[in-house]
Amino acid sequence: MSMIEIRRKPVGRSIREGALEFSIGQEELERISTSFDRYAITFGLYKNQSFQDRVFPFGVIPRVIGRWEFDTIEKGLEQRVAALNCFLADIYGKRQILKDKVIPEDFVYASAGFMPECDGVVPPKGIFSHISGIDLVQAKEGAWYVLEDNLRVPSGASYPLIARKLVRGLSPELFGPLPVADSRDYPRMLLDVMENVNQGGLNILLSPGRYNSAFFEHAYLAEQMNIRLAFGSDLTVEDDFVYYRDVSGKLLRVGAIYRRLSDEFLDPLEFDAESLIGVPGLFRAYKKGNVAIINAPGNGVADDKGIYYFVPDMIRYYLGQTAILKNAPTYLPLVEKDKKYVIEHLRSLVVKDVSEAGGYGVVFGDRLSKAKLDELKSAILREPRRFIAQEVVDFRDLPVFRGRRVVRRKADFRAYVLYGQEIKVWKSGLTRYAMDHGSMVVNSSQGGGFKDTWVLYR
Amino acid sequence: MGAISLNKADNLYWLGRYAERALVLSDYLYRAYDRGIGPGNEDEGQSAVSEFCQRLGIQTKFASRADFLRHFFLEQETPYSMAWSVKKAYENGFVLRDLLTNEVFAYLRMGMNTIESLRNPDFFEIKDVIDYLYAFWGSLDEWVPADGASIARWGRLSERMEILYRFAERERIKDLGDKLQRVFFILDLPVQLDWEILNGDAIAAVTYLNGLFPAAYGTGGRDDEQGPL
Repeated sequence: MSMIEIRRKPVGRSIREGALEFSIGQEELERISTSFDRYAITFGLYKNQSFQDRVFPFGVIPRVIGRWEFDTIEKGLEQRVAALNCFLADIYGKRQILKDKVIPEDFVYASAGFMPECDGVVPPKGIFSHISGIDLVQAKEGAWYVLEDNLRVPSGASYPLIARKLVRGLSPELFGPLPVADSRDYPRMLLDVMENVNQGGLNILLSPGRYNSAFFEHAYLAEQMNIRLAFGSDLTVEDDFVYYRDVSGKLLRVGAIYRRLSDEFLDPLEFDAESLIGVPGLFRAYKKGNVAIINAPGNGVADDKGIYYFVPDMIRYYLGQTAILKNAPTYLPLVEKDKKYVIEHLRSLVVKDVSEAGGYGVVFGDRLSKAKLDELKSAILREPRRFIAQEVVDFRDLPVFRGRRVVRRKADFRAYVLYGQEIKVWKSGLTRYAMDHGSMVVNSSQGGGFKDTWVLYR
Repeated sequence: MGAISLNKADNLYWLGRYAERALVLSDYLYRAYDRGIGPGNEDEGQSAVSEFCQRLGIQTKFASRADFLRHFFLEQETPYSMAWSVKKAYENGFVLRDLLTNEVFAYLRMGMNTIESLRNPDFFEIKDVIDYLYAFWGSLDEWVPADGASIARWGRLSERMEILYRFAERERIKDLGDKLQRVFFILDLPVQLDWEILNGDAIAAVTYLNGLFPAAYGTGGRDDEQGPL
């Protein structure tokens, strides 16, 4: 067992996580906290109808994933993302999977993420999900489950990236003897993804603006990739080509856009006409193949919580393989036998509204009053397509400092899978933890904190 | 990184103006306050406060010199206060984080955090804010490409010149004007400062200076006196 010791006054006794043991000094904790504030490593929250740009709570003890464990996760993620990309190409192409009745048509066409505008559109090099954020949890007995696929605008990679940089600076001696995979290559991987599909011109990171929760991330990734961060008003479309307009009025061709805004806001001419943060004409330029959009519009159909149920079937259908990573046991009320089970066992299940994200629309049956439970039952019976239900996976608690005390909190793990010339999994990831004891809601938008993820290479 | 959009140029220019405003005003504030220190200097101190306000076109009356100091150092809602200027610099810097880099932006952040944490206008603690602002300017040259840094410097020089005009201290105008001319050279802008205007009436000179950005690019001017944020 390797022992990580950061000297001076240790906080409590040593703390074990994975194959490593940590002993951390109060002074170091304070220095890390100061650094987070110094660099304004923030994740904004909307609370009481106002925007609060709060420093993202950082749990200094990382999640540690052993080499063999991560090898399996990596293979499973590559497989999953390959299948999801096949699915997107198929859904906006021949729709063979629907014709073969592997997935019911209704599930696709009724999905809020399905965009008829994308029908027949093939993105550059046929890649739909360039950056996939796959949320996993580890159950107490050690098995990993996929909880959710995020194929639209998954955020969060910048936080473990900069946290690692700060911890490396604070305790450089740790990283000599410890076999922790280097995570500094994320910006390079991301840039390779952009270059791979760039249609000629600048790479741009398109941000909705400074009041987006993850604006820190937008700026940091743009800085690290040395590409321009732009807002919608910085871009213009002429003759179906996208340009960045500089201060002198000169137009510079844009070849790839890493967009950090949702599909509906991308282009007011095609989608939400009220959008002030999009770029008029962008979708047409994309359809003509003049610019790559990362991730491709329309991906929401594949990360729909209802479609998630079918991912193991997709893997079998497109790749002829058995899924390496398991889904959490899931029920679809739209399927008659599942509906019966869900209604009968609602108290022991977690129910998710498929149209919600960020931890919203998630209810645990055992925390509802009788009246609320009945209300939920009625809603499920009335709109079965709107919900999925899952067995509650009792996932692992991880150690977190609360002042000088070490407490344990539920945590998930968002892995980042990048699809450039090939599909690669970043050897780190965002571990999010719940702020309150017993809570399973780890989402950053719900006030959760984060940890770095250390992947061991031996 | 090359080309900068009009939005970013605007933010850079105003970042420069607000960061410089905080620096220059802290100096003038201290001078005004200092004139009243010592026995028998109360009247002199009061007239220094009045003169300071008059130069900036501010009508507010202050019950005491301590109130005056608190107002101009720490009141976050008061234009021309140091806290307000630092906050505006921070807000402009926030949307430029990618361009400024994390290292440069950190000095704005620390400056803002420090001034927000102050309960009293303590000159020694204010000095920390000033140090952060100077560190910001120094690191800007170190980390930010020449075009971006030069636009911020354009704002910086314009702000300092405006305040010098307001306080009728023209000795340094020539030097600052020469520096501004070099900024135009770095930015490859065909602008020759009109010294006849700069050496003439102060209001005309300030109006002329403030009209240069971003008209010098040929993209039209702004009529938003306080900048974009």
